[in-house]
Amino acid sequence: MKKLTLVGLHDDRHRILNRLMELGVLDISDVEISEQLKPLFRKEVDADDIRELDDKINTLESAIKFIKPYDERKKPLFKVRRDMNHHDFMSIVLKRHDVLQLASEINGIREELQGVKSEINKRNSSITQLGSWNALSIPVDTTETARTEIWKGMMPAAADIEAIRGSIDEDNLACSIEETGRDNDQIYLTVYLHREDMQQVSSVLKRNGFSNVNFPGLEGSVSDNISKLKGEIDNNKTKISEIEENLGKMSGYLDELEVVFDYYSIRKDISLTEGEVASGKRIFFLEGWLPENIEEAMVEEISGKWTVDISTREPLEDEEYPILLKNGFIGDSVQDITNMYDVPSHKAVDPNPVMAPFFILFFGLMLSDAGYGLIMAAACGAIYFFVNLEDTMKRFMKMMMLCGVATIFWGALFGSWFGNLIPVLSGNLTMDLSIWFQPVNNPEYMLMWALLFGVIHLYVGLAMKAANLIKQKQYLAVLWDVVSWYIFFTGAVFLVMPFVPAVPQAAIDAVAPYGMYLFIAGAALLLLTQGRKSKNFFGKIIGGLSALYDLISFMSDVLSYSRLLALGLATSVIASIVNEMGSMGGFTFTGVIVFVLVFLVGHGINFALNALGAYVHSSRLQYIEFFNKFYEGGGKAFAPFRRNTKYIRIKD
Amino acid sequence: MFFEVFNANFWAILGAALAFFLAGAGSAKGVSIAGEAASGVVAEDTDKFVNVMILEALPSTQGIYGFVIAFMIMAAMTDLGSAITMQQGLTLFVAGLPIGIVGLFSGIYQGRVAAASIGIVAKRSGDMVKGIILTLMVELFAIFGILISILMVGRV
Repeated sequence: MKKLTLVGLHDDRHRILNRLMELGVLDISDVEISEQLKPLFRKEVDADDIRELDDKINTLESAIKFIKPYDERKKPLFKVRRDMNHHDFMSIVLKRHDVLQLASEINGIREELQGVKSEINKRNSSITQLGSWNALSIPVDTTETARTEIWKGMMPAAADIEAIRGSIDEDNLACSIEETGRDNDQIYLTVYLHREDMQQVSSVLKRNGFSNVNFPGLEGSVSDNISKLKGEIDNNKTKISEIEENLGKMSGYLDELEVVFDYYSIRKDISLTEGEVASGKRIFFLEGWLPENIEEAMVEEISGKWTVDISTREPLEDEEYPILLKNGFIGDSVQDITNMYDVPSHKAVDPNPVMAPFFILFFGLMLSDAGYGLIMAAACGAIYFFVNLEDTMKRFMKMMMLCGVATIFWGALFGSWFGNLIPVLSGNLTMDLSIWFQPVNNPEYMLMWALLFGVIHLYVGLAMKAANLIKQKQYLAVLWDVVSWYIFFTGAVFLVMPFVPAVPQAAIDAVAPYGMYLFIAGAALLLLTQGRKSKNFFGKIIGGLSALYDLISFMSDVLSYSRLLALGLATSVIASIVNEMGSMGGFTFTGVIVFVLVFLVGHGINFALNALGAYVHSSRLQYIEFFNKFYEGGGKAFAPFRRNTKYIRIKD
Repeated sequence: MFFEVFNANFWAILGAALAFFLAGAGSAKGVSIAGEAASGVVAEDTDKFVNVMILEALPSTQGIYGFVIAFMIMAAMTDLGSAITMQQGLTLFVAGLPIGIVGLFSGIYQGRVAAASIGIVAKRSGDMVKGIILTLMVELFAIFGILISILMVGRV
């Protein structure tokens, strides 16, 4: 990485930034204006301009989101930005005002559509309400005659109408109660009463929970009203289908909406970056990082076109700079797994090339079925090589392809091809296809190996720590913080070896005598050195003692690798169960069909669950056990100023 | 009479049943706790479906482990055949317990951590991995459970 400082004329600022964006190789930093330059330079953020761009972007975004479902073109399985040459891009950008107009129109239509839909809902709920009054014999707007009042209302379903009628008769009130309808909760009543008795009838009814119902704005019979509402709903539905047909046609402009969206996003990025450079009256300057190998070409390009002064320098000691990870075919594939955890610090070694083989092999060990691996490697490999993908997806597919290959490797060693498919089909269940051994028959032996892989992984982690220390030129610390741990842990491993199942006696006899010496030597070294950073005497002692406590975490780290065995066994045992269940039908016509179905569904589910398990557990072994030993994160990924588009890729 | 009905085969089968029943119940509860949280997030933002689905699936492993042990116990019974002794039957019964009981509790508790981690995803999709790591911490004990059960079945 090199730090670049560019001084240019103010009038060229926009064009230079535009060109830098097209080149996409410079990570522009938010410039810090030193005290003595403060009177001359300041940062100009054009808030109005940015707000205006934001408005346009939002308009376009909501229009795109709304119209997308109406686009009936076939969508590719993996989302890829469209490639577009500069000329085509510009020809659409020239029409951007029309496109923006179209976007606002689409948003208008969206609101109209929502309005129509809510009208339909309103009418539907009116229909349900009126439905309860279907049996009403008089028009809904008739509420009185010359001497009588006509009330319509509801009472809780529990009310006893007969009793109410009885009490009204007892009091000699001129009133007739008619039950118009009833559902689970309510009774719908029409009450005819003489105006003179209104007070008394009202109090009797109220006591029984009567509440009046009115039909504001309606007239005529209930059924007329319902059919009128239904007619209106039909009208609205026609309106909706007209609108949707129209939208279907408008979706043809989706591509242009997307291009203009990207155009304004680019404009906004430039405006935001203009706020990060230092602007003076006539000139401006900006700072940024760029990879060494393109330095020359880029300086030549910019200074050839504009009047600028460009200077570059190496990063200072202790100066933080962005990290551009550059790895080979395999190391590159797991880069996103590492970055999900943290971006490596510029002071540390890039862990990807070392971590990649472990991640891939552990994944394979936990899935450990050659049949599943074959399918995975073939499918992901085909996608990787033949489908047009975005970079992140491409790396993921590559990683999955490599994991598939590792799965084939371990599956073949353990003799698992879709579980025990071949032995089941051939009818010879004791057949052993394994090149190495079958973990199902000898789990203790497999456990020993799993733990051993763990020890190797952790030792490599310590070696990475040494590499970091060497990069930071702390050569003596390698001795104290790495070598003494090696001695200590190796002693501990030798000491516990007799307690691990399936360890060959010869190995125990060979190393056990040295275990105690190494353990004591390592412990002594750690006691003497681990407290060295502490200032006072007690701090030194406690620092040393607490380091010994790390032995426990080392042991639990190693035990954690037993998941390699557990998950691997789970895959192959379930695969065998699937095969045996499938083959129960025997070799008949239905039997074969049952077998094929059980095979597809059973192995499908088993593969999906265990591949997910292998992925997350393999990540975990890196994050918690491996990275814990050495990882220094907190770095900043190299993020060059470039066209950050969502829908298109512009090719010059 | 008692030991004629509750013979060696019965105890072994009971071990297999408990291994799956307890661990499976733990997973079912755990996945359902996580699933409720997940549905809430998807209701707000459909794009997060894949992220929360992965987190929701994490507590399902206990059930798988119980399933594996139940199967291994039954396979061991097939190997022993009618020669199975009372002691072997009881040993197989006991061998089913570690994954059964640990699976039950770790499944439920893992589900709670998964639900909380789904809360992380609801706020920041980018931090899903951190949620996965937190959730996997609980899983380790279920892994030890199945491991001990496997080794115990192997001893019969």
